[in-house]
Amino acid sequence: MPVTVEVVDAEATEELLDTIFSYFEYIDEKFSTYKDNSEISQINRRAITPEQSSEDMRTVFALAEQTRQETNGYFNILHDGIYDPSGVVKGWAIRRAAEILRQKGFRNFYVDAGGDIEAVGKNHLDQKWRVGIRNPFNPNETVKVLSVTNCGVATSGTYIRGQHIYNPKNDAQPITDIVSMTVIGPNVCDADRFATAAFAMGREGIFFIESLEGYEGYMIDQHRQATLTRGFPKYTIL
Amino acid sequence: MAKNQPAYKSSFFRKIKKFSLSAFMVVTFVAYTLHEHLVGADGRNIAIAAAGGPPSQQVVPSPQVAPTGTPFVFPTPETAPAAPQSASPTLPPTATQPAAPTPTAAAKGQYKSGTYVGPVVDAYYGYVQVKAVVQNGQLANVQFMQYPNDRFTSVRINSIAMPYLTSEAIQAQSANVDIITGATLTSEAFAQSLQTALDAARASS
Repeated sequence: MPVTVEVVDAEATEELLDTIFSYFEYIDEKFSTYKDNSEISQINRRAITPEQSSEDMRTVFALAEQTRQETNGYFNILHDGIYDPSGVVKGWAIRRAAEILRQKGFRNFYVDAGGDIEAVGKNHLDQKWRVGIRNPFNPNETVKVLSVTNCGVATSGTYIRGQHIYNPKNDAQPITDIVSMTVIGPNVCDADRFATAAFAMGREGIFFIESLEGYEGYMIDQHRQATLTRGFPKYTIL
Repeated sequence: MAKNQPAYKSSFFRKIKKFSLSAFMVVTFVAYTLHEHLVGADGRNIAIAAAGGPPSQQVVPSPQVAPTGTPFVFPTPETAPAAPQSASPTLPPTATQPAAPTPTAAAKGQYKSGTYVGPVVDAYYGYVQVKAVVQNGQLANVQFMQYPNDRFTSVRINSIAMPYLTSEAIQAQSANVDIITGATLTSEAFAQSLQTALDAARASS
């Protein structure tokens, strides 16, 4: 997962950035389901229970449970008895990394992990951060440019066309036509959680985002048609 | 005086005559115009009717087809070949199709009385699902349980329950950006595992 951190403030040092990257490495060691000795793998092997796990793990599990309830079951980290909290860990870790920077007194920076972003303060031109939404049909293009500050932006989706994704509430009906769901929220953690859940909802997802106060969304379907929440245009430049 | 009198009289009668004549002309003109309008319109209808019995009857239904047919043409060129599919789910006739096989419709085009819920159908611009009510073997009512949200026809209905959201075709932007947001392997994996889980659930049921 590519991680990018940019700190505009003059006091920023290489050491500071190392601290942030070390934090992400720690997160990966703990939460990666691909690593046999990660804590999450131990839980899935039943070597330890979630209750016996570390504070960070319990925090993530609590956040996942909160999300499951807030999304009426559309978000669930438990599949076939295996926990996969990756849908919530990334946003949570980015927010934590941003908190570390804030606590150290930095005011203008962004933290980007795999396309999910916490943007704080201004960029090097003293403007709000300009965030492009990647074209799901061409990774080299952006289809929208946002101007944001002190908020989180997350996108859930797939680049595989024609992939069949099933709505957990109506599994007889495949959702084939949503390819990308971008959510702007008060922080990247919440934006990510709700982007993931909204994506699983299919076309109804954009209405779920519309119903959330303080969140805006941009949904792209397989016909290259985008649907946006009513407040979304106030963040767009192009 | 006397000389003046007839002169006056003749001038008076001449004026009356003139007036009557102009009045007649005006009335005639109006009457002719009216006649032209009425007969002209009839004449055109007759002309179409004269072209053949069936075409004149087609003139009547075609304006009805246009308003319902036109909105279904989605602006994206890709969908054009599939337009007939996209149009059909919203129309009541289709509602009878999913409903028909379930109650094993009678041979005379009649249905078993009851309420039938059709499948959710992708109409390209949204999902459509209808409920058909059959009474005395005939389709008595069709209710939309789910409709697309970006068409004029549905906005009126949906605006009560759901906000109207705008839609646009995506376009590549050339502006410089600081950061890019986009889908990643994580969310893809989430979607895939979800699918696998649900596939398994379907297979076991």
